Amino acid sequence: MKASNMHPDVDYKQVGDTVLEMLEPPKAGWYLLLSICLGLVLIGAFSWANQIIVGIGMAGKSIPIGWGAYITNFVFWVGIAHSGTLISAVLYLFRARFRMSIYRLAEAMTVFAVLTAGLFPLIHLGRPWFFYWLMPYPNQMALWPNFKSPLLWDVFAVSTYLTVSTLFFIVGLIPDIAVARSRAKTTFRKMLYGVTSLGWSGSHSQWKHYMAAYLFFAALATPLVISVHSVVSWDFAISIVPGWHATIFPPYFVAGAIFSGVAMVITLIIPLRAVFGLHALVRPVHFDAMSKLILLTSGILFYAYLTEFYIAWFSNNPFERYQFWFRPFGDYALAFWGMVFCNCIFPLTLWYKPLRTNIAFLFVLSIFINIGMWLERFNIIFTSLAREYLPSGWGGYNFSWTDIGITVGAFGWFGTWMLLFIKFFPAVAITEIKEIMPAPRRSEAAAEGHH
Amino acid sequence: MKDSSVLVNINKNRSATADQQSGMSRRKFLKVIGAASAAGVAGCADSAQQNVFPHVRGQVEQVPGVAVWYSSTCGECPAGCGIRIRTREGRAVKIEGNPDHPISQGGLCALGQSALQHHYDPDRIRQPLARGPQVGSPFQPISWQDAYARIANAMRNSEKKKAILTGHVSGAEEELVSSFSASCEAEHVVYDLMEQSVIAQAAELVYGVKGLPNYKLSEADVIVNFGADFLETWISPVEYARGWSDARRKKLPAKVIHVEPRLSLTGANADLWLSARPGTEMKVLLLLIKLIIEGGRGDITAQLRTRLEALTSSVSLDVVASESGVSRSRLLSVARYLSEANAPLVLGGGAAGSTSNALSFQVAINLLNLALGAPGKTIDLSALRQPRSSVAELELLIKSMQNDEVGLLFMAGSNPAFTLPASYAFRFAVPRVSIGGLVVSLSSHLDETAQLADIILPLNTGIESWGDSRERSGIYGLRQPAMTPLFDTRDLGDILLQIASAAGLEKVSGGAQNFREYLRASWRKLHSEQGIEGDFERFWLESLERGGFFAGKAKSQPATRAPSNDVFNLDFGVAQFAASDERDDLVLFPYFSVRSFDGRAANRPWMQELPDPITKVVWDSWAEMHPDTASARGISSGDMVTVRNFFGEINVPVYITEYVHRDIVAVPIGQGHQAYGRFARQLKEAGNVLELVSNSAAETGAFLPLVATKARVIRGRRAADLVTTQKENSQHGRHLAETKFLNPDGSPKPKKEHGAHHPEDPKQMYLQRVHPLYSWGMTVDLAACTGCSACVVACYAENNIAVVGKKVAAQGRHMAWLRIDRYYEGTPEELHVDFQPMTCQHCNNAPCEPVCPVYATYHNEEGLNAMIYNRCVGTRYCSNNCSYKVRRFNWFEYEFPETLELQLNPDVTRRTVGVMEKCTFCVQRIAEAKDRAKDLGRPVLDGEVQPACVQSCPTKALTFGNRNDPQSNVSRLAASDRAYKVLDDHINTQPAISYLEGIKYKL
Repeated sequence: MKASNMHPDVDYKQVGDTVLEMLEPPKAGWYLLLSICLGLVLIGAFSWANQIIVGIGMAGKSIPIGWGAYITNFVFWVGIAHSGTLISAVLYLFRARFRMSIYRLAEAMTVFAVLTAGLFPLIHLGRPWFFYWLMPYPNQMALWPNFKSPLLWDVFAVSTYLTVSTLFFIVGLIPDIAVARSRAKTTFRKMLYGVTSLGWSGSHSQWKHYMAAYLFFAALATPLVISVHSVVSWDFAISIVPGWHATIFPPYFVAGAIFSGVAMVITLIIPLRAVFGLHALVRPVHFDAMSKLILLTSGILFYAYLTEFYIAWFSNNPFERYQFWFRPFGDYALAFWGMVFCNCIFPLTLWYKPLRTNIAFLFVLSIFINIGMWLERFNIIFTSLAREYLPSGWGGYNFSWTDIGITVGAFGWFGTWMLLFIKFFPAVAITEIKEIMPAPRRSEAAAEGHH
Repeated sequence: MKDSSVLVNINKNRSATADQQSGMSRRKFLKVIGAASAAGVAGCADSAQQNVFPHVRGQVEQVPGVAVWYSSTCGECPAGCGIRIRTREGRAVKIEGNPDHPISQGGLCALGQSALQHHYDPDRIRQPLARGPQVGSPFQPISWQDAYARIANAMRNSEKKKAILTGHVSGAEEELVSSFSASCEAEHVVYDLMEQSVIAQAAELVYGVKGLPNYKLSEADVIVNFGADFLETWISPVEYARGWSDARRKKLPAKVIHVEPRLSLTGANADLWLSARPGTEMKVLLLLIKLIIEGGRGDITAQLRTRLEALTSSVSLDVVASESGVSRSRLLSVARYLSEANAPLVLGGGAAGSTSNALSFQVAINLLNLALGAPGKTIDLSALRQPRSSVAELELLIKSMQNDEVGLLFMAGSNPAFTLPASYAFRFAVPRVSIGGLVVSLSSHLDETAQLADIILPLNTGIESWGDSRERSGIYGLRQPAMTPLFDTRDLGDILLQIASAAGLEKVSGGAQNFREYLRASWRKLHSEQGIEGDFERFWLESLERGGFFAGKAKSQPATRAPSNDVFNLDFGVAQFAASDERDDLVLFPYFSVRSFDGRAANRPWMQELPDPITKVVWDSWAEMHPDTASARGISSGDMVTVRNFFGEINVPVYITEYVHRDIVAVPIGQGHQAYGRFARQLKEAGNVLELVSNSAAETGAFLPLVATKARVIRGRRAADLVTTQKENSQHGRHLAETKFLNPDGSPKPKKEHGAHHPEDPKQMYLQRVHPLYSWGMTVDLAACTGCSACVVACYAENNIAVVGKKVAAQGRHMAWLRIDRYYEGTPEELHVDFQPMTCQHCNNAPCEPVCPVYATYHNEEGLNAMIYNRCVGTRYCSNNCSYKVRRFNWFEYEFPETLELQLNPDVTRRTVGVMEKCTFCVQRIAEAKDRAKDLGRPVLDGEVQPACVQSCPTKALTFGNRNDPQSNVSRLAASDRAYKVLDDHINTQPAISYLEGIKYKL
């Protein structure tokens, strides 16, 4: 089968030029964005420092809502982190060609989102200075962590995911860094790319090994797509909290994570495409493909939501039933209906084909999905904890400026990494886009005056 | 040293017999300890200075790490409960009920428990103070000598009258005050808002003996109660709670019917709560008399019968039903229960009973009791309490102060500037004395009354002072200091003796150098009066050890006589409510709360943070209103309201509840202090509800008519920040607090089955844990739990639980390890209220344990769900997964303000920020008992370990012990057919706490 050319408007050279142009010295807009992001990081850092000094009570948690904004953010960012590996590894194995122009950004997003997510379990600890007690390390106290606790599984799942996705990310970058190295002008960049390209020369044997390694990493990363968010979902499903204790959680979380991750890729790539003129590389066909992925995962989520309600009714368990009555009609009904709208209703518009390639619409939709997925985690965490078994123990949350400061700080942290990344490394895969392009014929190239 | 040697002998004899009898080591232990302590105190009190902190040269009775217990008597309210004070390294750290004391029988209420925080209050007066010569100049420290000299000078030179105003005084202290006032020709006036003087007055009118009868609730089979809050603050709440629970524990439990316009804790525990329109209780009462007489009951003389018939002739069932709002059938059935009862008892009083017609109301209650033959059966007239509090005498004193007739005023032990409404003008009369005269306050705190003084002589608290309590004949409680005074303070008795000697009144002391000697002299008299064998020293030491002398010969039953004719000339009309403005349309209903009584506990953080048993409000004052009443005034939940009348206004949050009558606005007494201390003053903006009470409504002046004034309620501008610790009032049919309902004849009502009931031992998937030696467990008898919350305060005291304050409590972060869940069921007409103590269930299958990533919480081999604070990293997953929501988290590093921290129990770790904590079943007490058992080479005996909550419970609703031992009390109770475990059927948590269903009649 002969695949059609996904990038008909550009040739090899233009691909390289377009991408490497992104690495040109930044303009004022970039500095402005970076300073906003760093400002947010400072707000978050201040909030966290203050929280460490004064006490975790600076955040709005309570008894019964012992987890709040931080764990919501944790699950949100782990979810975001998800689609990167899906796009880069799973779609690679499936030979989905639309992945080529978006996967680099998705991978970067993954790594930075895991870096962000990984902070939250620390931030949320009552005594963060003892975070290392969660690690199984030999110590003179002869104490070992509790391997029955899903929080411990989390530690392993997230750290494994960070390691593998980072390795995969770096491996994928090597040939492109070598391209950047050959064009680097400043000493700093020459040094940077020289070191990070790991002596890439593009020789045939290097490519042979490289492709094998890439396939290997893709195969290694693929189960992680399932495992990480399954394990995160067990943080909840293993408990006996009504609204958490459900076997549907792992697939439901994985689908939700892919859903939110793809949305985040869209959110990031649309401005990037506009600013750096990547229209020829990221084409409507890519948005169409991502829209279809959203449509699929949204459908799975919708089904999962309905299943939760059905099972709550079917179980005849008064605690479950009350919980699922409370979600749509209780104190946090707004969050529930917001979630339903953003995740289930609004994405249905993508059945209409022209909207799948309507960039402005997709941008708005992707933002809504991001909000919707945050609300989903809010619903799971806040709403379930607010109404457990004993009515006497029911309670609420006290949103505080520390919660908000750390939440926005996380976005700043993520944004800072992303901004630095797009200015220092090729944010679109040069060599892999070229792979799926028809090789330029010598005559045409000669006719146009290239070598 | 002589004291000690005598004691050693006593001790030897006692231990020998105890060992022979049963090897009952806990009692023995307490006795040994008590004896040792008595030796210590008797040996060194007054003369030798005792220090608070460990000594370089040890004292015999002070072994570091070993608690020393002192028996004493609680002086927090006039009840006179026996207490035991636990001290460690010279500091009092815990107060418990004295099991040997006939009044408290081991229990102790929240107020008594919290006396520690009165003692360690950071706002106590630390040395004598005096104002400068100018009026209103600030207090300056002054030496005792100067103070005495100034007072003696005033005593000698004052031409005018002298007066001593005290709160409740008893025993030797009362003798001393009397002889002091007699010898300096001063008038002694007693004022204590909690004293039910009007009942004593009514007893005299009807029974011919003056005093508060001893109500034998345990003997009763039907109790009809007109507002007496005997489970909360009324007369002797610990004793009556025990009596009530004994009556309820009988095979055929006593029926309890409560008539009050507001649902009090006592009303909530009744089988039937009737919300009669305020003021119409008298009508209901007369109707009951009429129906009883008509029914032919009454072992009364024909003459009395005729008189009663005449008295009630104008009363008709229909009229009473329509006026009171209580249905005909209810009224008839109440009358029927009473007339069919073997041992009926009618009670009335408390705030609800202090209406304008309180005296005739009490007389009518007594007449009804008489008609029912209650005296002798359920009303014991041989052991009377003698309340001396008299508002009438105080009013006369105020009048003479206003007329500049008083030149010297002593005020001690009560706070009339707070508890007496402004309309009595006490606050304005006292400064008149200062002009040209002297006002001396003997007080431990700079409260509203002390602030009026020229000289303040700081008093020892009950934990530091000598004294005794002779509340009821035959019961003589002793009070002894459990520790050295914290500050430069003295006993009331010592101060009076010093003043007397400075003023040259030699007669007062009777030769005693100090108050301890005075007390001993008084007890020497008792020793000879009672004809006790053995020498006095031995009697004295035994009494100190025991906490008093309780086997006193009761006075013979006093001759009662039929009610005199005058009785029937009283006005038996409905209560009147003074309204100086026609816009005042609601009856103001101030009521005593277990959290503060009359405001005396307002500066104790434990009590401020203790949720009110009914409303569950902490750190606040509030106005309870019926939803209809509120909505008619545009008031909704979350509003501030202004309660206003001619006399003043208070600004408090509204608490909207169906469980008050439409015609009233109910406000708890005790908040709104303008002085007293930092914690009390946090609510100074609210205002004191007593300010609004009129002074004009009383028909006679012995009491303060609390419910006799009208007021209007206006919606305030601000939003309220009322903090409750329980937001949901219904248990949503979840079968958490279960009740067995009985038909009026005592037969059980058929029960609605719920959910899936598992067989005895449900199949388990996993290997079950075994507990080789001990398996600690508890039972909670919901039929006996009144929700009084004494256990909650006991838990705070024992386990160093932090008080977090209103703001943090509002965030759902209050730290109580043990809470009382309160659920309502049914309509206000057929209301059923559940109180369920809820604490860590120490589940065998604890949901909290597997989720902890660091094993900070785990199951130990004795069945305890243990918590390792210093391993906790604070993920809070355990709390999320706890189905009972009993885990508490240290969101901040909580402070114990200076001097309050001296109360901390050294056996219990203070928790740091970021760690989880929860009930440990008082593991420190288990460890102590196990150590002792190990030394003695035997297992821990049943009942040897009593967690603080179990120990404090006035009704003994809680039982603790080893579930492995089938003979233990806890095992036997857990095997009862009433026993069940909360949520176990649903989630197989296998709690170690079994609840016994409550028992209530459906009347």
